[in-house]
Amino acid sequence: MSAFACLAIEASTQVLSVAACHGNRSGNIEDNAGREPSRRVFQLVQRVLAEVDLDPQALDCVAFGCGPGSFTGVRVAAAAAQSIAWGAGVPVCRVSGLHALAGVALERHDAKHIAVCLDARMGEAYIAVYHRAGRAELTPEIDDRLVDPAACLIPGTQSLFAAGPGWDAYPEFYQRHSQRFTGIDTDLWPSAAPMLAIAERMFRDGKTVNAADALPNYIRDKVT
Amino acid sequence: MIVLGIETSCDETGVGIYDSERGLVAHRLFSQVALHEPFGGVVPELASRDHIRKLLPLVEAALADAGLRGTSLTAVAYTAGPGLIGALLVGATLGVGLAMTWGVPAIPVHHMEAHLLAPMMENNAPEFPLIALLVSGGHTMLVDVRGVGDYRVLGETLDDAAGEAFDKTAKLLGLPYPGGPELAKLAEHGDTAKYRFPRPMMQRPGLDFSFSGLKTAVMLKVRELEANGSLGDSAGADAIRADLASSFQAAVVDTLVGKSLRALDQTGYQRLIVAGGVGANRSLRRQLESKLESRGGCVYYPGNEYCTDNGAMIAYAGLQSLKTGFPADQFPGDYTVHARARWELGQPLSA
Repeated sequence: MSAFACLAIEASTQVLSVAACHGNRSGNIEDNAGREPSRRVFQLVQRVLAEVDLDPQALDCVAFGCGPGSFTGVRVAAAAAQSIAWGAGVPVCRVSGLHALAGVALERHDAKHIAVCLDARMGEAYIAVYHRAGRAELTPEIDDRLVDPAACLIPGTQSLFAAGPGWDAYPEFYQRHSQRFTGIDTDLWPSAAPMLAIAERMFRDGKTVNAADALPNYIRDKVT
Repeated sequence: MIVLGIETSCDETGVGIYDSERGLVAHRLFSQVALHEPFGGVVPELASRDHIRKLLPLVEAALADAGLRGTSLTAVAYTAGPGLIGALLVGATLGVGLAMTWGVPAIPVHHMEAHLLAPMMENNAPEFPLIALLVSGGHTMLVDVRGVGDYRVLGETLDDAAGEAFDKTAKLLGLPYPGGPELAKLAEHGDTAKYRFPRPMMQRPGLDFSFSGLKTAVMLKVRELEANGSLGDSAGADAIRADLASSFQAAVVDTLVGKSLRALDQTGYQRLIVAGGVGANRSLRRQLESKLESRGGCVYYPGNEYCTDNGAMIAYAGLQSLKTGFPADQFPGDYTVHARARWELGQPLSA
C-alpha cells in the first residue's frame, strides 16, 4: 500500500519543517528559520526530496500546513505547495497546523484526547482538540478556532493532554482546566512529518484541492 | 529564450511572458484598487492575502494566452524588492517554486530596474546611455543608466514620493482613491497659475526631491479657503478645486522637469526615459517633450499599461539578466527565495 509519494511543508511557526515519503523511505528536516521562514524553504525541499530519492514529477500530492499561525509563514507554505503541485500537475492536501501538532504529541505521549494550543498574540490563542480514533489516527473533536484564553472554557468533560507552546503563554488558561489534564508538553511545534500520514488518508479519501485552491486558513480574519 | 515574470510588490498582481524572439507574448494584471479603496491606502496584510489567491490563476491564464507549457520556459523572474515584504514573499516563493519544479533558473529582479527597462520593450527603444526619471506612488528618483545593470542613482526623494503627494493632495480635495489620476484629470480644467505653490528643492543644487513641504502648502491653502467659505458646497468651489489641483500639479511637474534637465546637463546625455505611474501624467509628458525637443533630445516612455506595476517588465528585466549573465551572488540552480523590503538600486542583492 505504501507507494504514496508526498512532500509536506509547514511554516506556521518559527520552526520551518519539510518532510517527504517515497515508497518505504521518509525524511524530515526542521530548521529554526527565525524571521526568514521562506528563504531556505526550497533548499530544504531539495534536500528532503533527494534523501527519499523523489523527483517532483513523481509526487502523488503536496501537503502544506494551512495554518493557523504566522500569516506570512502560512502564505509561504501555501505558495511553495501551489508552485510545486502545479508544476508537477498534482493536487494539494491542506493540513491544519494544529492537527500536525497533535500528531507530534501522539508520537511522544500516550494520549487519547489532545488539547492543542498556540499563542495567537494580541492576547488570543488558537486551540483545537483532536481525538485518537485508530492506532495513530486523529480526528477533530473541537475544530481549530481563535479564543480569548482569559475567558475560554473547553467544552466537554473528557481527560485531556495539553500540547503546544500556547499553554506556556497563557498559564491561567491552563489552570482553568488543570483538573482535566493528564499531562502536558509545551515544547511541541507543528511539524511536516506527521502531515505525511494525514495527507495519505486525505489523498485516499479524495480530500484534496487543486493547486490554485491551496490557500491558507488564517482563522483570524480581522486584520484592519 | 522565454521568461515568465511575476510582480507582487504592492497592490497589483502582475504576470507577463517575454520571448526574446517574439517580444511580449502574454500580460495579465489584477489590480487591488477596489480592495484598498475603503481604507484610503494599501493595507499590507490584505494585499498579501489577495496575491496568494490571484497569482497562480494569472500564471495559468498567461501561459494559456501564450500557448505555452511551463516546461517550455527558459527561466522564471520575480520581483525581489523593494516593496511590501509580505506581498513580495508571495510572488517570490511561488516564482522560485515553479522554477525549481521546472528545473530552470529563478531570477530575482529589482522592481525599479524593471520600471526603468520597461521603455526598452517598445519599438522605438532608446540607446544607452540615458537618464531615467522614475516616478510612482512609492518612488521618485533620477538614475544615470549606462547600460543594462549599470545604474547610478543621481537623486531621489527625501520624503514623500511624487505619486504619494498626488494621492494625498487628491484626498485633501475629496477625490476618490487612489486620487492621483483623478487629480490630474481635475487639473486639466484649472488654472496652473492661480495659486503659487513652492517648487521644492529647485533653488538648491543637486538632484534630490522633496514633496512633503509642497503637500503642506496645499493643505494650508485648502484650510484657508475652507475657513473663508470658498470651498465646501459653495458655488464656484469646483472651479477652486480645479485651480488647486492644477497649481499643485504644475509645482510637481516643474520640479520633475527642472531636475530632469539638470541631470541631462550634468551628464551631457540627450535621452530621457520616464517610467512609473506618474510617468503617464499628460502635463508632465507635454512639458518634457517640449523641453527635450528644444534642446535636440528625446524622451521615451513605456506603453501606458506598462507605466504602472506589471509582470511584463519583470519578465523583460529577467531576460536582460539572463542575457548579461547572473550577478555574482546568484547562479542558476540556486533556489534561495529573495525578498527585501528595502533594496538600493544598483546594489547587489546580498548587500
